[in-house]
Amino acid sequence: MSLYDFITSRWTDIVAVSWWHLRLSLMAVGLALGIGLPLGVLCHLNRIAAAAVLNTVSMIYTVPTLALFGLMIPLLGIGVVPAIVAVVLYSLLPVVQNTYTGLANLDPNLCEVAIGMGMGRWTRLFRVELPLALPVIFAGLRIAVVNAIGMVTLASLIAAGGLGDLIFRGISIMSWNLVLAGSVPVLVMALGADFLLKLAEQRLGRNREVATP
Amino acid sequence: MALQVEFRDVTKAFPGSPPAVDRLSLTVPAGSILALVGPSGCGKTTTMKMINRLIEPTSGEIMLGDQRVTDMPVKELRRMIGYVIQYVGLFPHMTVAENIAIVPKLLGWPKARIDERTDELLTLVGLSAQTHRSRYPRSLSGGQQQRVGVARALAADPPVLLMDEPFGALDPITRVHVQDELLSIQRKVRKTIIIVTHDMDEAIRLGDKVAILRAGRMVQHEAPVDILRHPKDAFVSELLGRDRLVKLLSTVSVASALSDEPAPAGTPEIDRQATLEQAFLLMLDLGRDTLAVAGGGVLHIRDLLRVSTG
Amino acid sequence: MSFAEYIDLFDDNILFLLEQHVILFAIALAAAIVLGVTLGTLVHRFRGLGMLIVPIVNVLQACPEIVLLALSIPFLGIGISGALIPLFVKGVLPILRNTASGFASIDPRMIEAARGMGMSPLQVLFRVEVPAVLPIVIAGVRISAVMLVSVITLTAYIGVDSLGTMILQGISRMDMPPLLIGAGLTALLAVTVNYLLFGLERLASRRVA
Repeated sequence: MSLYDFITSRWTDIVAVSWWHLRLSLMAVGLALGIGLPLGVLCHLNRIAAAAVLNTVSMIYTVPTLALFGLMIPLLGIGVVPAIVAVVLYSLLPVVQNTYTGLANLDPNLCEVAIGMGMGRWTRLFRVELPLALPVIFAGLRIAVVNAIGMVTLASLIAAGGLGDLIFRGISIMSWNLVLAGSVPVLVMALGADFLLKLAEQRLGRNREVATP
Repeated sequence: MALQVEFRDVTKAFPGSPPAVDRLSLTVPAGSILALVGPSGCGKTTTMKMINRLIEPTSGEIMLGDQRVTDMPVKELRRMIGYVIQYVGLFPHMTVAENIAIVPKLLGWPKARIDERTDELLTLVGLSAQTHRSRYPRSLSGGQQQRVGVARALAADPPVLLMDEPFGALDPITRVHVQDELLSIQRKVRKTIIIVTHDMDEAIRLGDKVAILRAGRMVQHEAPVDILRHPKDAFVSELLGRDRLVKLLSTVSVASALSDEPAPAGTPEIDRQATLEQAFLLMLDLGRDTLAVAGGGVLHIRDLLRVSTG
Repeated sequence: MSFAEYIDLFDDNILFLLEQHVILFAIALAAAIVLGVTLGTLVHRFRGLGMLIVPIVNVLQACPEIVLLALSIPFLGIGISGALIPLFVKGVLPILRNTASGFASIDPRMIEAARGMGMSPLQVLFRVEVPAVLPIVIAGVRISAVMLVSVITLTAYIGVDSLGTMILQGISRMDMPPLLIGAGLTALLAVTVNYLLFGLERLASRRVA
């Protein structure tokens, strides 16, 4: 069967699987953001927490992805839940690290002005520090999303579905069409997300350049 | 409204080094400008930051009006003290209006009042409210940013204004311009202003009084004219520079030195509001020792000598 | 089968796979360092080359390893040759990037000062540029190394022997001992490599600072 015939005959299937793949990735990154952002802020506020949290998340990030999925099985079995947990764990580092460095590298003058104007700790955090750190946090988010789209491909191994289903079946039955039908959407989504989020990041950064007289 | 600021025997010592500020006593009358001046490390910034409690004194007390600053809740204290720093410190992610609105918002003003106040302040510092309100700081020139900085510090009508090297990053021409504007704003708002600078000329231009600090001690605290006339020691004269007497002439107006006599016919005229420095230069330029003052009176070169020797 | 029984039965197999993993890793990393540093230096020296290579690098960087692996099958087949492209791409990129940005981060005034003191171009390179760039390059090597340990586990799919083989076996048969031993050893390997290179990075940057 030619590639064209193959694609047209399986079109709805490919779209559905891609959509599921994207949803898994975004769900995982969303959760990672929900957990990682407060953790990054915690690291900013407390030095002891920073050492503990940053070491832990970077240790997790070091573990090869395949091994991480494997280690989920004895803990959570197979299916969507362990797959998402693995991707969340892996996505924590870029989110936490970038939140932390974004907050740590702010212009100390601006922070002092905020204090001098009588802002409290939380007002300062929400009105000055987090908005200013946003481009850096966003860059972490971009890395997390691109990583997650790639990593969810492996989630098919623990029966969570996604485009990995097509790729691995393709490899085992030596069907080049199937491999392509799985790989190309992953590639398009990863590169597309990278491009779009980079664009958004630049727009965010433009309004936050520190004005120097 | 303005409040008097008073230091009573204030010392600040950081562990392991000689006191940054050593037994400082000093009063800044309500509505006047004090310039704190001295070389870097002399304790001038530390002195200023103790007023809004960015730094807490080791001993002694600081009074704002009739209240000790240490008795006031720190956030409330800071919200009633305007604060301007060298890097302007405008928040780049907020528009000009949002920057100005920060303290009024913290104080919970209604929106209509904040908007009205913002426009009023922009007009006060010489910026058109309509064109500047919704611009971001990065699209403003250095001088404009500095004006917005001053407007922001004045937003909640604070009785006291602290300025830390406020014009240090501006080029010399813009700096003089913005200094003049600050003085004209001050004539309208009459705040108690404490301004830290390492630039003696700036201190002399802006201060009603100038306090010179060296290694945490106050060396001299007087009106600019008196400091220029009688520098207390070699350190102060070094800070003032060799042209201190010319600077002195630049701080005194013709009106305050003229003699009440009719001028001889044909004498060149000078404005009453001109400085003695301008009068002196005019005399050198024209080769005359006498000038007629517009509106009556005469200025002789002897009058300049009288002023410079006090 | 219990862990003890599994290890008792397959200990030589475990050691063989670990050895394969380490050998493959060492060869790939060595090649990546040589190529990455060379390309990174070239990109820094010749602007035009950089403009050509940098966008490609950015795209490849965002490309998932498993997709690279899958897409290279028709060209290189399966087995060790099929693993070459993902190993090459994912190993070289961080080193290339860091080498180029390391050179770009050197203050030109420092080089000027060195020349002004009468250093020859070679002396400038070895006494000024290399010490400044080294910590950044080593940071790139660390990222590459951790990535390579991970990519090598994935090559088990196309029949390359490594610790990944045990993980896959464990997953497909739901057999815990090989799964956990494979996953545990790869994790341990990655963490150790990361830790060692991090130490090296700190050592190199201490000399500069």
